[in-house]
Amino acid sequence: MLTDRVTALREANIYERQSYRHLVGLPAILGETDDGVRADTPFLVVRIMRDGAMDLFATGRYLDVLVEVGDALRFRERVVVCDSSRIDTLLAIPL
Amino acid sequence: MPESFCKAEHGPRKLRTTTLGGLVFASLSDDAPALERLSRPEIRGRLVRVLHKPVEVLGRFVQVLPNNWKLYIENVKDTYHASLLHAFFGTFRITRLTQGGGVLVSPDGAHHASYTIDRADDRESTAYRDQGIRSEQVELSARRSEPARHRRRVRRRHQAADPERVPEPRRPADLQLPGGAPGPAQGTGRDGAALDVHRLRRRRRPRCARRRLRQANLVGPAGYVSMEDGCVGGFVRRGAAAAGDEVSVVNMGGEGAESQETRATEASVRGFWKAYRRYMGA
Repeated sequence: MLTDRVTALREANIYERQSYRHLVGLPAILGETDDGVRADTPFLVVRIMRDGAMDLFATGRYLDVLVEVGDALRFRERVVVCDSSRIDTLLAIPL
Repeated sequence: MPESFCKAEHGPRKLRTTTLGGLVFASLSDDAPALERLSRPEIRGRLVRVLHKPVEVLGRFVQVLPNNWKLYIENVKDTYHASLLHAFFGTFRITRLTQGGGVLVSPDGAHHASYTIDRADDRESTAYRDQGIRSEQVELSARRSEPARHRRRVRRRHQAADPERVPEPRRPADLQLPGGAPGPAQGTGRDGAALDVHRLRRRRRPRCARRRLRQANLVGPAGYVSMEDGCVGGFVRRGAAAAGDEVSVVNMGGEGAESQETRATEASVRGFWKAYRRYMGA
């Protein structure tokens, strides 16, 4: 599924050039389970279009499961929950 | 409240409703013709065929469009752009350009149903690929997309209310309704519209739900297909604004708005504009 998404953005889909500015809040560590450490992190995304127009594009939470691999923390799972179900036409780059 | 107050005389405006295949159609107008008078039985039949068993809503979202609602209606009415624009259909073999098909248009032009028909002799044709059409990029076609995997197992021959919205035979996937933009006076402004997208699945079919969620990769603002449908209207709006006095015409499939046994036609687009002008007295 991830391969499809990368192929779409690099080769297959037609869309306007754009970029995001992510502002990520402090993660709330919710506790540890057998799967790993659960964290809840708020985010805000501003979208900058090719002509310079900026929109407050999305806000929401990352619901993450993190695991320790050696000295590093790695994501096992990330669920992105948007605050609004109303989204501008082009959500090309993943949030 | 005083005795003289009659509650029956002061309620919300009543909608005139009718149902078809479990969908509720509503109008604020008492004068609008009945649904049965507006569309051909063949068109209603195809809608009912897709929604022939109870469905439930898996989820919903709103896709905000940067263009007038009529540009999106044109997109839905345009029976051939999907094969050319949406690279995912061609490259991942969800549809093939060489497939047969056609469009049914209602007598007043406002309603249509389009369909594709797989023909065995089309399966290996390279007629379009040889022309270097974008949606037939061979280097991509070797890959197989997640949403397409199931599609390859379903029956070869199918008809659907709109192949772009319903990628499988007899199974409801998406109903895109121009929510908030039923008419020019009630849109989200002259240059804006909003699509109310519902993901549906058959009731009591958990495996179906998983497939439907995977196919959500095709629709909505992040959809491989719908993100293009969404932004293309904005391109057209901006382009048209710079050429208000210019005219260009492509008579694809003739000048009329009758049903045709090919999807390489703009019959349903012309039908929409003929009906719109008539309704609006333009």
